[in-house]
Order: sequence, then C-alpha cells, then structure tokens
Amino acid sequence: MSIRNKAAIVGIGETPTDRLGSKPGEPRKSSAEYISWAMRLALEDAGLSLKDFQGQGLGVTIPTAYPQPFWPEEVAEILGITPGFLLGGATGGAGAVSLLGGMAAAITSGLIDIALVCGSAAPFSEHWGGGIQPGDMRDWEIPYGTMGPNSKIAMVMRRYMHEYGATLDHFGKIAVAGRYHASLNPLAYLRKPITVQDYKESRLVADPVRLLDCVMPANGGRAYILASPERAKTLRKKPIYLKGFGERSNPSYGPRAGSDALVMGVKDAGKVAMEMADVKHGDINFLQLYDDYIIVVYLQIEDLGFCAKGDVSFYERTDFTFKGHLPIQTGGGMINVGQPSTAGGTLHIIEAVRQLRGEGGERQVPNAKTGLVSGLGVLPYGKNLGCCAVAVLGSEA
Amino acid sequence: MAEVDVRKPLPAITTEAKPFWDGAAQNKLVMQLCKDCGAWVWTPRPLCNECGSERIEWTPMSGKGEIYSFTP
Repeated sequence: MSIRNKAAIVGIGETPTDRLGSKPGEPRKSSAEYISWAMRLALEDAGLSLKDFQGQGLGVTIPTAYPQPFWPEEVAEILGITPGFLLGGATGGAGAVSLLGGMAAAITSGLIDIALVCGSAAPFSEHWGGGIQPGDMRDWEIPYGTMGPNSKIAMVMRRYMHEYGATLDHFGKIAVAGRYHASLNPLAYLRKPITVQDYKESRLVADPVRLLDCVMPANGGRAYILASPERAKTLRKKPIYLKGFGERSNPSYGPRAGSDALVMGVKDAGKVAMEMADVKHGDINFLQLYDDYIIVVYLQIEDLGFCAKGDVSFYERTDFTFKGHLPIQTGGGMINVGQPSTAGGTLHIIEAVRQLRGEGGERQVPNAKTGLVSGLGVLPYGKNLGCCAVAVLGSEA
Repeated sequence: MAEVDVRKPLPAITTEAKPFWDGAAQNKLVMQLCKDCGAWVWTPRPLCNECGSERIEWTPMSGKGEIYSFTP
C-alpha cells in the first residue's frame, strides 16, 4: 500500500515574519498568537472552520525556542480543537515535511479524513531560556568551542570546497537567485536584490560561512491543511496532491563513527519519494529546499541527483531562477523570508502549493505541475543533517 | 574594570564516557572498538553501531590523525 495521491493539501497559512521584541518597548506577539493567526489564514484559504477538525488530525512542529515537551497538546488547547490523532513533529526543521507523510498515512488508513498541521515560534519576543542540549553537543562539541550549527556547517563547507573545488562564486549564485525571488515575494523579509560580490563581501560568521550563507531567525507562524482526495474535491481551492514521500533520520554514509559529512540523507529520502511519485528528474518543475545554509541547498541539488556529486560546472551553467532550467527557492526560501524555529520549514510546502495552484504571482514558474520539497533538521556530531524528509507534490493525481 | 569570569562549559561525565575521561586523566587516548566486527565506535555508547554487539572494549589510540576540516 502506498500513500501516493491519497492526500492533498487544501489550505495554506503563512503570517508575515518579523523580529519584534529585539528592541525594548516594541509591540510583540506570542507563539500562541502566531500559531492561531497562521491557522486562521489556512482555514480561510480552505473554506473550513475549527469544527471540521474535531476528532481529526492535528500536527504541530516542536520548536527549539520553547522547550516544553507537551507543546502539541498545548496547541490543541490554545486553538480549541479535540484531535482524534495528535502528532508532534519530532524531526526538528524537517518536522513540517515529516508530518505530511505521517498525516497522509493516517488519512490513507482511514483513521482521519482531514488534518491541520501548524507551527510557530517567537524567538525575539519570548525568552524561555535554554533547554538541555543533545548529548553529543553537550559533551563533545560545546566544551571544545563549537558554537552551534554555524561552526558545524562551516566544517562541511570547507571540506566540500577542498574536495571538489567549489568556490564562493558557486555558492553566491544560489544566494543571489534566492534573494531575487524574495524581491518578488511580498511576504519576504529581506527583499533588496544582492550580487555575488555582496555575498562574497558579507561578514564572516564562522569561516568560510558568511552572513549571507545563514538563515535569519524570525517570529512567525505557518500552517497547512491536508485532506483525503474525496474531501479535497469538495473544497474551495485546487487540491495539491502528495505524490511521493521519503524520510531518512540518522543517515550514514560509510562507517557510522566516520560518516561522510558531505553526503546528505535526501539522497535516499529523495529516491524513495521520487519512486513513489513515479517521476524522473526531468518531470520536476521546481525545488523548494530546506535552507538553513546556502551550502545545504547546494548539496541537496547534487544529492537529489540533479547533477553528479562534485560537478561544480552544473552550478555554473544552470539558471536557478523561476524562468530558468531548474527553479529553486521561488519565494526566496527561509534565508530571505525568515525562520521561526522549526516552523520555518513549512514555508517550502506553502510556496510549492502556491506555485502548483498558479498563485506564484510575479515569480510564477511557467506550467508548474510537479515540485519537490525537502525538510532537514538537527546537526549531529561529525555528520551532515540528521533528519531528512522529501515530498513530491503535484497538481494532478 | 571588573573582570568577567567566563568558564567553558564542561562535559557531563556520563557512565558510558567515564573510561574515556579516566584514560585522559592518565594521558591516554582511548576509544571503543568492537570485538565482534572490528568497527570503531565514537562518540562513547553502549553498543557497536555497525553490528549491534555489546562486546566493545576501550582501546588505546596512537594519537595520530589527519585533519578533516576546521573552522577557527
């Protein structure tokens, strides 16, 4: 049994992102306010009300900024829903894509007919203090001076440049394409176009990672609604089908105590998703790739099989804009829209749905019928990202 | 001007990692080695991640290696 075409996205909700609360006296909103705002937008988009979700599915991404293990239940309480199936997104930034698979499986099985998936975070307006770090970070990284994900991804990026000869021009091209799309997206936070030179001259954060390599934290909320195809056909918007799904957590390439940090788990998760969807690379009209860093976007393109590993010339000859050969990050990605903690990854699903509905506005990919979305989370010791989920979405069942 | 006391966070000496720190206290670098399949195990844990065996032994290392990557 497959979950191919057994569930469709029927509603999306994206609040604007902001950084309110970073200065004293600024008006501010809470995580609860952002999540209910995003939910309201998704309900309006689908033409549904809260009553439609009683006894149905509720999925909630678990933010790092609010270390409360019962947050999904708290969200049900805040929204006033009595779910019949409650799932927390336990794969960090991959949570929103992981929940597509989990909720589609529950819909396929008949357990539920419809599901609301939502998330929010307000890292600038709420301060809950740090939680307990994962053991590998606590004992083998932080005491040695590793300052979180920036320094870990810096080591991946440096090794990649050493191994394959990629330069800042290759990475800069990806940054420029994303920002160009953001300039056409009214919901993006960073909208002023940049050049490769701007990227190269941005300040070093953790050599070789620069400011314009990094995602920008922000306050905000995100939501989507998934329904059975029968239910989807009765609703307001064109259903966008989940055609394929694949997930790999704790991927390892080579010996587990020395996994190849340059290979990402989307290699296998993507293969599973594309086989389920029965699509080839040439069938995919755009990619919305989880983007905590530019190098991570870069690596996913090759690990998903759009070019050979280490073929830097592919990045030189490919136009990644919405009019180009392989459109990526058509709304600017999280790097330019902003990342409300683990809810950030939901953005890529929302942008894919817009494109597949033909609601892409000035940045609409021509004739977009099939798109690929990824979610990533967690950076374990000595490895690349630890949670990788890939979904193939399409406008036709 | 008051001096700020900045201390590096210290690792938790978990039970599975204690032999590593005991070795370090004696100037010895030790790592877990699987007696069943010969795989190295790192970071310290209760079982071999290649074959699942619990027959893993703390083994002295040469202390020599190659730098894979770095960030200042």
